[in-house]
Amino acid sequence: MARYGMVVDLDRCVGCRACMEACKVENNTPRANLWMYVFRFEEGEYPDTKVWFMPRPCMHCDNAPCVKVCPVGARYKRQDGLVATDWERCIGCRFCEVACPYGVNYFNWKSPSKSYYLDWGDKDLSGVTGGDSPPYRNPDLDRPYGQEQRRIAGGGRVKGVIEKCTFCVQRVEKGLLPACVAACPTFTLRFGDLDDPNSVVSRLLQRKRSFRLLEEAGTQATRILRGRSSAGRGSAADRRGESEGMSVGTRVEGLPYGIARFTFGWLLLIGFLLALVGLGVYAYALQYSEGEVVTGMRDIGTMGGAPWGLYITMVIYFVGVSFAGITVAALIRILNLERLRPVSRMAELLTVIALILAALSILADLGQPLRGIVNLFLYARPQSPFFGTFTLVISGYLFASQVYLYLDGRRDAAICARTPSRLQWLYRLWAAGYRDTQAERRRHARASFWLAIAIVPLLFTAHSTLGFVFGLQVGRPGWFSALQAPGFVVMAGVSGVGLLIVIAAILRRVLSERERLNLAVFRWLGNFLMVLTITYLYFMAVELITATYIGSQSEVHLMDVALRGDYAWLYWLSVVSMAIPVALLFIQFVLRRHRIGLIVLSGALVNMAAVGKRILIVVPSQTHGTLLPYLPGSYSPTWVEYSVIAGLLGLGMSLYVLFMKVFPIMEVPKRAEGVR
Amino acid sequence: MRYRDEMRKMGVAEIYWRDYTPLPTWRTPTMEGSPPEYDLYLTSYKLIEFKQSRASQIPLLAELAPKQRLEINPKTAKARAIGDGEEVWVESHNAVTGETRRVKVAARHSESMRPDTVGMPHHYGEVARHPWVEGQGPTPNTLFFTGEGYVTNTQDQSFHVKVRVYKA
Repeated sequence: MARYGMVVDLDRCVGCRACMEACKVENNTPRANLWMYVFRFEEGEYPDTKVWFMPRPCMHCDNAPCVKVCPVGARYKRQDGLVATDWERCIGCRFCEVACPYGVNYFNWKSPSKSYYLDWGDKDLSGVTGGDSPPYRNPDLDRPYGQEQRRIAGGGRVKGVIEKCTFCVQRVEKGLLPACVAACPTFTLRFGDLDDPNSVVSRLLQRKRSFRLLEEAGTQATRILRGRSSAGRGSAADRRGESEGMSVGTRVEGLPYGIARFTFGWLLLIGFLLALVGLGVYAYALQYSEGEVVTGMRDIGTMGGAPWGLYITMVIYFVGVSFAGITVAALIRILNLERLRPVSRMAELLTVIALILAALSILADLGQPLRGIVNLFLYARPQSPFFGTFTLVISGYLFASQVYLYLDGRRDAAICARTPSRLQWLYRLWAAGYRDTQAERRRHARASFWLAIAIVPLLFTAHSTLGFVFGLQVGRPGWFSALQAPGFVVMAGVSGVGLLIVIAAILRRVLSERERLNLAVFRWLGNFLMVLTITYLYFMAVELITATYIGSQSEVHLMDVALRGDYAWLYWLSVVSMAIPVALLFIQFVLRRHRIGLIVLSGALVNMAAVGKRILIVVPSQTHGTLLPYLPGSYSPTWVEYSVIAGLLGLGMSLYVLFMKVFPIMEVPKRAEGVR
Repeated sequence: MRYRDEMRKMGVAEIYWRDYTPLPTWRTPTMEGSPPEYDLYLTSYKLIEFKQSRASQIPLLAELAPKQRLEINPKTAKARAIGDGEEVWVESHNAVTGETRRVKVAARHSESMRPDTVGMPHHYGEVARHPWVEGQGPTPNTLFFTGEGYVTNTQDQSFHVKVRVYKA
């Protein structure tokens, strides 16, 4: 079987860029998609200047990072050495684009037919073309190729998929050379069978020195001549009050916490939130029909943009915030922290809703979301870090949290089921025959305990897996770090606990639960938040020192951009938004005098810092962190992205508020069960 | 005769009869007669991208070299406080008639240029009169002169100009 490779002879390139043009014509690429690109380098000072050119096709790496990270296997390496993109399977997640160290991938932000070089619908042009119908579409690009018979030639005609240099597979299958090789006037580009010792490429590699571009990245590129304690104390206390109450058959006066009672204020709130959701849906519909060109995201490299923007930032934020529920549940069960019991259900609900929003954010980001849903099930690849995100996080974490929420709520459901109401059928279903006997309670506590034990490892693996999405990318300076996985776990804690504090404070007011959501609860959460935030600031300090001590060029440049350059305002704002809470919480801790107001302020500030820091993780490494010398870029989100995110937040809040009207958000107090 | 009258109308004092020689001679280039503030030589050249199309109206080729630029040595630029990519005025002077012409163009730092020279490629410019070339930039032809001293009557004369470059 032939093993094709390309060899680029830098001694010969004169920078005529005929290869770029030939590639465009052969593969009908739309505007600004430069599958083949030629860099121009100028070195030295006058009069000792040297100008040289370097063509950069796709490197068709033997150890390609893009192949490794594709969640559905649309990007794969063929036996004959070509790295191909199946544009029928691609779901448009752009993971290959951010993973590539060379910046060769291009995403169809809008339908390719809208971004050709001229407006072919223009009536005047038909006079020029003599009535023929441009643009000329090479018919070979639509045929399937290879043993697997997949459509890999050309760039796909739909928006929302990735395309890149294919070594002109439609020409190679016919025995021709790729278009760029055929067009090169100086024999700079050579193509052939690396396994054949007599081929042009093999002979060149024997005769001349060669290197692989970015060899240290390990990609083996083409050569250049390159979560109740209850079983114990709890049940003893419960035994007296509950069993008495239940045997007397006392009814609760109406359902607790305003359930099923719709006030005007509540309706106003839900109306506002649903209006936000409507805005988000409208913006998303626009994005779905026009393509992601309506967002501020663009390709890395020649386009100077960031293909991962606010949507991915919010995915990380939502998954991070879901830390709260699991941790609180686990801490209550495993460490007997009864103090936190009042916030356990609101934390669990936060987790469930946050994970749903995370899944929706991923779908909002995909170029082909419907394909994404289908192909992720049909073709999922465990080697891709996204696999961990979808299975461990979205499926495992979400499922376990829902089970936990269900189990935890059975007792309160049973209590609510005693009162006749429109939702009595729901409570009966939820309680599913829960009897408040001692044996039942012990069994329930044991089940929750073991479930909490099973969830805790998921806590670490789920957040670490999201960290691996970034930390394993050798081609993105600033991302490639062993600290990403643990950093994501800690940051999840910071934002999750912070948001939980804010929610608890709001509910404390709204439900008038000053006694149960008392200072002890906030004090514990505040101290936990302090420890987590200090840990995260430690991670940031380690990152800063490592990058600036004797950093590699890209790392130093990225740190400079963050500390003093385009992103300095966001960096320092985030640092301050984390330092102030640490100071507030630490002072309160040392003086042993806590105030709920200050703790809540800290929780709100760290959440803002969390979003800011996540933007700093995601965006600068794409706009300013290219290993090849592209010009620096920029990313400005558009109203579409803000609206979709506002819609998601509105959806989350409305689900939360809706749940509160249907089920008690805190455990119904034992007092309510007693005789009045 | 008409030529001499035209030239006199433009204020040309003398006709360069000495250029009409069968054998090559050398005289100081006309451009050296410009005042000293016009200190840079202007050279123009062709770009490979537009070798065949001559002008920049084909969008596929224009994508490779989208805009006109003035290539200037970084030290020269620094002395005039011109950053990379900034818009500048390039003003040329006719040493015979005293006329000046100028165009506005974006400067590009290039170590490959001599410190005393700036360069501007051809192909761009409104003379192409094509709706698709709008906004691409001026042509250096605007800065060159015809007329005495700047038109070769034999093949041994240069018609280059000296220019001065300043921020827009």
